[in-house]
Amino acid sequence: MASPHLLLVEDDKFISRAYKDGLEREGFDVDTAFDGVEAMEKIRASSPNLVLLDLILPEKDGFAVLEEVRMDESLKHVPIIILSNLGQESDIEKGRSLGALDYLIKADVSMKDVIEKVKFHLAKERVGH
Amino acid sequence: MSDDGKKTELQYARDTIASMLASIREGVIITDGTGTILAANPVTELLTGILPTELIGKGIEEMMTFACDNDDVSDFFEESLRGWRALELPKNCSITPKGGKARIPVAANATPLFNPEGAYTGVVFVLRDLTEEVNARNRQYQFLSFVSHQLRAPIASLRLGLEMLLDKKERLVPETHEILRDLYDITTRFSGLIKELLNITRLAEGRVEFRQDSIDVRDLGPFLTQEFERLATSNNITFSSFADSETPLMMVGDKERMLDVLRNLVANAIFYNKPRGEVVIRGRLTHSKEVETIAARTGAGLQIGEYLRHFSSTEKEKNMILIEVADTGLGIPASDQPRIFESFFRARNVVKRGIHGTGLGLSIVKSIVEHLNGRIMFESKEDKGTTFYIIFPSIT
Repeated sequence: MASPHLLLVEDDKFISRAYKDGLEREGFDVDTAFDGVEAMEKIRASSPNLVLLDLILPEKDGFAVLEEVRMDESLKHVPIIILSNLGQESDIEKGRSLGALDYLIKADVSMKDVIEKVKFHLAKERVGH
Repeated sequence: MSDDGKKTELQYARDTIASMLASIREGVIITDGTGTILAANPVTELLTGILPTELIGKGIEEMMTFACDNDDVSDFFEESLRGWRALELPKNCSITPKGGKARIPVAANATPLFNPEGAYTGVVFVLRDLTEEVNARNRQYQFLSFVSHQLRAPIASLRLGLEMLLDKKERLVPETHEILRDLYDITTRFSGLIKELLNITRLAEGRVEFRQDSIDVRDLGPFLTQEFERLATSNNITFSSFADSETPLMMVGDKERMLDVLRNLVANAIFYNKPRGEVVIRGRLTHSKEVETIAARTGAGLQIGEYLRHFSSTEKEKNMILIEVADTGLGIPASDQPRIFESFFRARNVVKRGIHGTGLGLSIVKSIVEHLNGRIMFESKEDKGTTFYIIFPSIT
């Protein structure tokens, strides 16, 4: 079985490399995007099994990406987990209402937590929720 | 001639007082014993939207109303006009001036007046516009919120970097691994501090939503046991929660926030404890009389008296839920007790022992409890232990 294909959308190069390394070591195939526009291009082009999405991004922010994905019939099935440092309840509410499956705060979660969540949501997807 | 001389003296005195009242920044209203306004200074117009000349002769209760976030003050004027004692509006109150202007946050005091024979003649009300204070405080919280959010990004990077290094355990000398482990723990603490700071700012700015569900307090027990059992055991502490509570303890509240409250108290009770110590959470039904007794014992008599008065108008004895969080730990030194609920305050004895803490837990606890229409009291003896008492109106 092919390894799951993940898209990591994160503008901080150090954090992006760290998550990419950690996820690749777990056997995932990881592509990266550094802004919202690139994120949309890659979601359209490669239909990832799961997207890890930061909210504060140049060009187009994470909320805008979520909205665009949701509006697009061909894309709205793509599972998206928010991985951000914004943490107000209003942000979390907004993210969920725009279709995000989960909301993780970078400063609070460890690499292991992220990996666990990715595996959890991928499994859910396979079973068909 | 002497008559004129006396009049001039009286006139002089009255003019001096009138000048004083016209130049201070507080609103001053004087009423007679029934609440009819006898005098009002110019500032009252800014606060009430009504000219002083139009206030005179009217009943004060019809001319203005106070509204408060956490308290019912509909009987403020009635109580003041009894003339028994001086009263003060609680925190977070405001007045809406007539004429469509925005609500103004205010502080107000009412003091009874007596004639030379000692008979009660009326009340003087002093109102203070708190807008500037509120703005300054909000700016503080906004700044704190901004800084906390900004700090999160570098923290996330630090944690990730350290995690990557720790993963290379086989290639590290044990000492190096230990240092990295310590650094990682420090960033975890830092991250926790930022979370609490943001929590505080959100509570202070009223941006946290509180649900109003009927909850049975006993249901919180299993969550707490699951969360704290391991920590308690590793610290050599016995922990039990709601072990003997057999009757339902129903209240209106928010389960998640209540868990926040108890989590904070339990974490404190475990960390600020002694080896082979104990932490017990008890919950039971009680009534206002017992609550008053506890309040008197813990020095919260006046505050709790005011709080209970708002329930007793409909029922003689109000049913209350009493939650106790008791520990046999380090206790709070008497001199530090008055400040224990202050943000960032940490008692001398725990600071001296080098126990880490942010000093924010109890201020968060108090804020949530009061938002949920409850109150918190405590008694503590240094080196013996502490018991927190939280009361809520019962809905059974």
